[in-house]
Amino acid sequence: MWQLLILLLLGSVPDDAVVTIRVQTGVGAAQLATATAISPRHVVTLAPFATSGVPYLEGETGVLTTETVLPDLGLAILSHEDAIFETYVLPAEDLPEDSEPLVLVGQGRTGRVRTEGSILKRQPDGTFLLSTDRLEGMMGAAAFTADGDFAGIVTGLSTVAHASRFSTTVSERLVVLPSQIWQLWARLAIFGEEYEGPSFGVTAIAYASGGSNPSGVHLLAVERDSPAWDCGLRPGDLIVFADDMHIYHPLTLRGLLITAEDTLALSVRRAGRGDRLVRVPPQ
Amino acid sequence: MEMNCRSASRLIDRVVDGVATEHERNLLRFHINGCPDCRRRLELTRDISRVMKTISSPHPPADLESSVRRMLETGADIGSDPAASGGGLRQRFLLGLPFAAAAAAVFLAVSTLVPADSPASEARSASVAVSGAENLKLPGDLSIAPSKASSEEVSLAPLAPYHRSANIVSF
Repeated sequence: MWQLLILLLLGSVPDDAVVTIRVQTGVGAAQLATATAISPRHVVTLAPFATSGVPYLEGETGVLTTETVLPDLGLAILSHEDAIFETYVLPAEDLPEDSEPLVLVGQGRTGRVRTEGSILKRQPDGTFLLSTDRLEGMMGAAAFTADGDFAGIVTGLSTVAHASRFSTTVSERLVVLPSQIWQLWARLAIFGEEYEGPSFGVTAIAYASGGSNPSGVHLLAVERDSPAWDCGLRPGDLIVFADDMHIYHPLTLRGLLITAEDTLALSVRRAGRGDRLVRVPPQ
Repeated sequence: MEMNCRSASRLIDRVVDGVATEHERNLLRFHINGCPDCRRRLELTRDISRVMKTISSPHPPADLESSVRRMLETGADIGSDPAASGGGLRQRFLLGLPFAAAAAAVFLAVSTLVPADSPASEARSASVAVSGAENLKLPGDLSIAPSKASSEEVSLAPLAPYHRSANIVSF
């Protein structure tokens, strides 16, 4: 059924936003990789493509400069000195629905390649496993919903074991990092928004246990008398939701704080005290 | 012993780790009385140390072994296709392991707290690109891509196993 839906809506997927970059990995050696234009000047791609060599835009239109790298999510934003991307897509603010069909646009040996897939499972860190027929050329591929939203980036491969009485088989699934987790970081990077106000006062880390605790942002430290402290946040708190958005990464929270025009309602779990709501006024 | 912020920083680590001598604790106490920066650093380091001790590694379900045996006996899938079964025990356990490793890695990262979007991190990224360019001995005009010699070996970026680390971010 979803294959039919894909076929019907295939034209709305903005393939042209997906570009090929050539990474010089050594003298006489290069890799072709995928990047996705998210502004007339910027592309987002996987960090190794930006740091393992010199990335060039295929087609001899020039070198790309690494603007910023998000090491733990493995992403990088590169920029071109001119506004050369006529087609670009802003990363989606929302997560795709469970079992939603996705179109992947990756890099083949002779140009862009497409494949379709569907979400099999969400992982504790917010990524999801995707079932597809094709794997080659999909590292760094852009994942689009059928109506053209830029839903995420393929960040690697995960193996899933199937055991029966007589044998064990292993299948490979693509891992997609949803745009919802990193889109605020990307927007702040490409729009060059600077936050001049006082620090919020937290030191935090992404937390995903896979157990009974929810995933979220774990506060390792809260500076005394900072805005975070005054709101009631304390070391050890686990921030799970901001308004209705599940928070998987500290930079998502940072982006929300920077861009918020109204009070943010943080759902916070504190060990031994259950869940509670912390209201953060606009900074 | 003359105390400055650099040596106080070393003492903070020793005090928080619980290995400082009485003399070192007194030295640090004297220093932070007149140094608000080091006092904040001591508080921050203590908070991080305390919270990190509370972050638990994921534990496999208590009934994991019996469940596996039962599934093997009945021929049911373990960690089978999640779309069909909603996810298996073994898969859930395996997915949790990288995060246990990440939690452990955080201890190593605490001493290098750098805001993710700080100029320092951007400078590191930029230097990677520049040093790479130097190695390639490109022509002076870097806006022109290097010519693609016919002998150049071009491959597709390979699919790598998914890996996720966890960085500490301050903001």
